[in-house]
Amino acid sequence: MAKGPRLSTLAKVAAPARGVAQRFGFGLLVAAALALLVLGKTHGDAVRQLRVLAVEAIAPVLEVLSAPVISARHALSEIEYFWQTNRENQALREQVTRLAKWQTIARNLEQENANLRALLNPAHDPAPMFISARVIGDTGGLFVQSALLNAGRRDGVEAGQAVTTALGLAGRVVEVGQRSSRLLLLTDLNSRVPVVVEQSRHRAVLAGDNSIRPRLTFLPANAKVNPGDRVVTSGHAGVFPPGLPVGIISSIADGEARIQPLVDWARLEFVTVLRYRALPAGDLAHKGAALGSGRQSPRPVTPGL
Amino acid sequence: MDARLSNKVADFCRSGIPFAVSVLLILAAVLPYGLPKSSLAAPVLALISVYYWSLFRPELMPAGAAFLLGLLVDVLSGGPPGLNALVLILVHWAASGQRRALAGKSFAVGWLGYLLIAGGAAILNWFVASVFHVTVIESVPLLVSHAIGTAAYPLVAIFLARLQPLTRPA
Repeated sequence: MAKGPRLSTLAKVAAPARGVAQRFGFGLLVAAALALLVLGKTHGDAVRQLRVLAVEAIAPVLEVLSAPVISARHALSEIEYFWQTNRENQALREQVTRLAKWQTIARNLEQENANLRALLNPAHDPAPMFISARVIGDTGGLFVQSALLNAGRRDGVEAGQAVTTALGLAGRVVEVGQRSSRLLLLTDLNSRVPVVVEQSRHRAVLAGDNSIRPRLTFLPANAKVNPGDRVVTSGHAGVFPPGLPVGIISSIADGEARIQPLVDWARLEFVTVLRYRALPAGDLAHKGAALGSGRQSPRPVTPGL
Repeated sequence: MDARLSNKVADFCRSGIPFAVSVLLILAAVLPYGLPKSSLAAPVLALISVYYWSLFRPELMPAGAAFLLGLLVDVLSGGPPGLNALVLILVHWAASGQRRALAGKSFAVGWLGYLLIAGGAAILNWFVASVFHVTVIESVPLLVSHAIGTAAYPLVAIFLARLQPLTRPA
């Protein structure tokens, strides 16, 4: 009750002067926001650099604030596990039996692959090194799909590097600060990933459009793809290592294939940033290196000559 | 003298509550909760907070504060720089301009005002982002976020209304 009259007398006294000041300030702020938008378009790199600096300042705060959130998530998943232990055990046992067969097959194939490689002497994909990082900000918003990571230049992160989870490719690094970086998710409007359909070896570009299912573009017109086909990175353009699992074709409508990414976006917690160079200096010397490092994939490379 | 100074300091802190609470809401919204659509939370919370304070305590949520909050959302999201800043200034302008129609009425009127003003903000958002990216951007996420915001408004508004008495000078 007391609030109303007091405010109105205050408003009466100060209204004219404040009105002018406010209108002027308001116009200035609108102009500033529009100028920022234009600058973001014309001088994108400079604006991005400023944003990286701002994120650098905010990152420590986010890191501290996210710690209890992550602890709570762990606690919740512990409880979930506790409830589902029996069923989980059963499922895992079945999986172990199934995977044991696969292991035998994989060992044989690995040996055979090594033998054939020794015969053919092909160029070798360098083994990617990796940096583990924690997601400290589930940012993005309406038109951007991004996340903030707590690793930056001092950890060896560089713009363009592929970011994966245990399940599959999550996206790539787009902005790098000293100790934080921004991960652009596969689903973002600006995300383009050269991929290949695993079975048919048809190449395509996976283009995000802010929907949860990015679409395959530049797929050859005669390409035969079916829902359920796996899509992996092709390694073209040399940014991503070849053979990283990306997703599964979920639907084909009007000649447009969409894929369901393998990543579990809801559980994006720790990610792996791959330090990969398609052609590192002097790496060709390692042509017979062991295949033990896991992430390598047999890319059908034919020597240049 | 001493008491007056400490009063002034206390008043200054009080007047900073709306801005500080908004910043905290935005930062809390981007934490990795691992929930679907949680990345929509930051812009939505910023919108609600700016709308609420512009309506009920406009002198504590000036256009400059709305601009800074928008900038914070833009920095965190990595989206078009200045987009949320522009949207939030205009939300502030619309909400503080319609005080007579919206403030001091029933809760439902405030809610309806949010529905309309945030709807306008969503259209502006879509338009500016489409021009920025030079494509017609899918509008479904925007509708989803507008729906989420409208549904969440009562909860956030009740929380902010609890804090509102703290902003009154002693």
